[in-house]
Amino acid sequence: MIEQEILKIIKDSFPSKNTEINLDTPLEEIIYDSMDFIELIAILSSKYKLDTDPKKLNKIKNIKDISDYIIDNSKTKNSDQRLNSF
Amino acid sequence: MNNKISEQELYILSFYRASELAGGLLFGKIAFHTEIDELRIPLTRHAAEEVEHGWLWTKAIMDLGLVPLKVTETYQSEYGKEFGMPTSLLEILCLTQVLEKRVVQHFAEHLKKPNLHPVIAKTLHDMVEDETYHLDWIKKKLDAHSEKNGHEEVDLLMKRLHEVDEIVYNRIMENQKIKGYIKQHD
Repeated sequence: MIEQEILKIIKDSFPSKNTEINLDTPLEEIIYDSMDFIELIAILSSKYKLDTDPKKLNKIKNIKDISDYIIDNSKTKNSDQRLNSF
Repeated sequence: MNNKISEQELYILSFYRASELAGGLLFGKIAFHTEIDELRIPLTRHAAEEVEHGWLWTKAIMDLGLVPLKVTETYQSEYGKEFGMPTSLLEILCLTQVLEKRVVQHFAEHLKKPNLHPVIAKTLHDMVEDETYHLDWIKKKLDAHSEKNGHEEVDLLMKRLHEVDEIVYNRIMENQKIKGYIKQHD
């Protein structure tokens, strides 16, 4: 299940901030500033080979939204658009 | 030499220090995670130089016999409030290009202030020289991206970021401590 995989990645990447996270956990309980957000997107875009879509990413509110975003956008990485990820 | 500087001056130096450190941390994280092989070196160098600048401001404050203030409001945090969370390297590079130009311009203006302490003047001077590398490598990457993918994407992003920069810079200059410092030295 991709949701469980994403939960594990988030727990591993931000260990001190989320002991009890689930799909409904709001984004602001996992990340505290733009640096954390960039790090999270960098990790996920690298793992799931996705280009980032600013409009969709800025609508993310919780982990379920992250999971849906990844399912909809995985393997979108375009080698000619390399700066559109991390 | 009288090492005394005003409270406002200590704040502005601490703000410069915090902004450089924030830039270094951000670029360090991206350098750590990036999948783009050819960017790993310039991103790491950029991160290292930003942190070095953070140290130079720390050292300048130390040489003045003081301790840096804890400042959490930085150029980066203010850009974030206005622009939103950056979501790609393209956005980070465009944002950095606009911000670095602003910083160079601001430092050059600061250098023109009368009765500047020599420690501060030297640090400002060294910063202006160093920032040139940052502007140069990012411009090359953005130009290469535009050559491959068309100019519209970068042009639109830069236009938006220049608008954001204008708002953010004016807001920062409205900070009472920074305003107070500028008033004192005009």
